[in-house]
Amino acid sequence: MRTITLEKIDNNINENRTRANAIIRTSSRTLCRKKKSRTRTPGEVKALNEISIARWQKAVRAGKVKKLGKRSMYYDYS
Amino acid sequence: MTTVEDLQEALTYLKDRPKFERQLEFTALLTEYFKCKGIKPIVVGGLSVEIYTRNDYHTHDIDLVSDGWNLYNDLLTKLGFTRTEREWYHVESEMAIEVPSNNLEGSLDHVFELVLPNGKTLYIIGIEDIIIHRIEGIAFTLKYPKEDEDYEWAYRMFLIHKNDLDLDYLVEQARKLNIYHLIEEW
Repeated sequence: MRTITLEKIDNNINENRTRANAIIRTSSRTLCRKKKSRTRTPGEVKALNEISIARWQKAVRAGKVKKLGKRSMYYDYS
Repeated sequence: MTTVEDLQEALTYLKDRPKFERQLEFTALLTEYFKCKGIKPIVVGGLSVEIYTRNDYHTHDIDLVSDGWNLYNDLLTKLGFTRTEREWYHVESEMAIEVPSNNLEGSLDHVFELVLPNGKTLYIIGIEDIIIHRIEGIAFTLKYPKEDEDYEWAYRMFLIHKNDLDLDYLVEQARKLNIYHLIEEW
């Protein structure tokens, strides 16, 4: 069995990610976004929906998203 | 007023920031830079989905609907972006920008202005229109559009924002584009 430390993985990512992304971007045959091939189960979709709703509402409660007007919003991305 | 030098500086200090923050801050700077030229970029596509889902969805591109494509080309080239077909990308900051059109497929009245913590602003396609776009993109090309990832994200945005949506407009647009049957059950 091979072993690898998280530190080693992090180092590999830090060293190679930027170049890898650049290569993929230039060599990609299509500029379209790649889609995942596996369809989520209804249960997974439901769970993710609930998490997404909660995430937005939490941001509103924390004052990170505030309506400033009919079509204007304060938006803290953190 | 934002200058080319400000944008150059931003590419340096933003490169170590989280991707979402980097994209929003850089877009806000571009928005400010182009303001004095009478150009108003509007965020569309994946980044708008990411904004409306609070970073739940991930995209690597900044898609902007804007006039002045040549001005973008001049500016981004000056800033060290490389052009590949319709997209400019910057390896160091890992940002990619595309200006697919100068015409917003949707309502300018529904565009949102976002004010970031530093007071800078950017403009984003209305939620109703990005929901419509995501559905329209799959409605006529896929056998089972409801099983597609884009359908899922469109529905998710609807669920998150349904109390703030202009439902009349959403339904009207969906009917006009023959995709209402896909959202009727929502």
